[in-house]
Amino acid sequence: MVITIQFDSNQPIYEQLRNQIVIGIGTGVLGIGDKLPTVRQLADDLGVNVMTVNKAYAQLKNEGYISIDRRHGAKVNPHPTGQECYKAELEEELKLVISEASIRGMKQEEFISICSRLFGAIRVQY
Amino acid sequence: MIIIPLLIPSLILLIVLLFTYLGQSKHNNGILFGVTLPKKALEHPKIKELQAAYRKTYWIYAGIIIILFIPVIFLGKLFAFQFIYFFVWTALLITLMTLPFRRTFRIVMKLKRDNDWFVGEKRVVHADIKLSQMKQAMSVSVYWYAIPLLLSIVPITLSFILDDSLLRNTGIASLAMTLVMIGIAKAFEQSKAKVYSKNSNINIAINRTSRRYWSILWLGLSIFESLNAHIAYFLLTSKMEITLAAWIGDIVFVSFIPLAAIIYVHLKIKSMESSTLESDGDVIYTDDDEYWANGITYHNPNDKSIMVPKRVGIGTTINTGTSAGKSLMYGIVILVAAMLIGISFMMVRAEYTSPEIHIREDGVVSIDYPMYKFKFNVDEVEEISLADTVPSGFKSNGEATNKYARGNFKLDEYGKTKLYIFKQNPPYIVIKLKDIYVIYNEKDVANTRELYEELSTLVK
Repeated sequence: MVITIQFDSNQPIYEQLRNQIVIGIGTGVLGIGDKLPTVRQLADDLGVNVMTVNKAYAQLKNEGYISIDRRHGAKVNPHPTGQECYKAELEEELKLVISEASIRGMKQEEFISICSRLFGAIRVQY
Repeated sequence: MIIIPLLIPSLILLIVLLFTYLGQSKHNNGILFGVTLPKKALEHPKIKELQAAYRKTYWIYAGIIIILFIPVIFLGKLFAFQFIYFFVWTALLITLMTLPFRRTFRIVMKLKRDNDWFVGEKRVVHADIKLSQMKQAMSVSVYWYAIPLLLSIVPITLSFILDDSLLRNTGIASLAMTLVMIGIAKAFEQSKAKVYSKNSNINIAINRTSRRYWSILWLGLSIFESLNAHIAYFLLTSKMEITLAAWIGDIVFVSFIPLAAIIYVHLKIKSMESSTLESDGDVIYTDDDEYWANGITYHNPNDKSIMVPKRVGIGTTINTGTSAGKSLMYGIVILVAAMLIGISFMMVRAEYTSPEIHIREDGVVSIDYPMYKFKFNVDEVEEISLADTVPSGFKSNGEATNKYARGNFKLDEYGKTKLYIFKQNPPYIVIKLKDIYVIYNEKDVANTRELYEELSTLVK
């Protein structure tokens, strides 16, 4: 999968990286057990600081999306962890997104249909 | 005939620069005249006009530069100045060749802004996850360099057994070139994998081919250079008469093969890139023009890489946005300037200074000459004679032109010798000391004879 980093964005680089990897896993572009490049390899190919990629990987590891093995490098995790606390976070995030959409006049039906369409692109299975 | 060693590199440089800049008038990788443009921009009449005028201008400039070379041929008598003019001519060549490109670049940039010919995103970078992870294995293994390393180390060890310093130097030269090629190969291995398309398979296919070809080329060149060192050794020790034609043939061979190989690989990969991407619908376009201020140099503080692929020409260029890049650039400029000024100074000095010999009351003979002075006592002289010729040999360190030789040499009959001679100007005073020979003469034959009389009287 191709990662695109925008230098002009408000979003910090590590966050863009983390988000795109998560979406990659969700849409199946990155399969379960797929190897990720090492921090150095990815930093070299993006032309960004190693610390930035390190931060993104660390966050992904903490959130349970990838596991990092000293010997074999980073891999997409077969088993996500931390389901309970995640649901609480999800509600908070959705509250914000739904509020923003509603304020702009979007109705529940339209919102749900957008969600359905996006779920259609999801390929990840456990 | 010193002209030919100056003529060949000049010709190569002129031809390479000419074709490099002429090539910029074609739309390559979305870039024309150093500016990222969409295909539709090529239809614009002003662009077509520029392309024709540009090519014509380069042929005219090439003609001017060739004419400017002519003084080099006529300055043969004044060796130091011939060389200095040659340096100046080379600087002129490099500068003049960029001018039409830079003028056209500015015009096209303005056209781009006026016509809103923007394509691709700005200030973005792409990386392909699968590609980055597989990149390492795409170059040929560094362990293959054991071959040229062996070709270097074996002569060096043999040279100690056989006490052959020429063989040792051959091995050292081969080793140095191998280490340089290993450095280049490693740097290349770490260079950014290029993302061409949203399709990972295409990215992997193109990168795999190009990295394989380049890494094999570096290995091949390394072995080629090692073999050349050995060939040079055999030629020099074969006691064959090495004609000027043979030397020139060898120089041409050694310069052209690597050059041809590099150009071949570059063109082959370029054509593979275009044919693969032609049928791809997901090509990724980026507009990096803001980092290429004049189309030639790259300045991007956001990019951590110190070296990036050039836009104009083959190879990599320095990213002046990094502190290491800035240091590298200034370092090179200072180094080159110091070398040119230093060498020019030394050449002019050597041209207008002659060795001077002084015989002191206490029998100490001193030869004064910048950097190569020498002293000995008349008591140390085992033999002194007058010779009509000086045997040939190699320079260990010193100055040698077709007119004079000063410094430390290893000659065929005499071994270690200090020369202070005007060539083709017999007789020569040959002084044998315990471990070393000294051969001296004056510009004026009468002076040489007089000096010989004086010295041989003292030696008795």
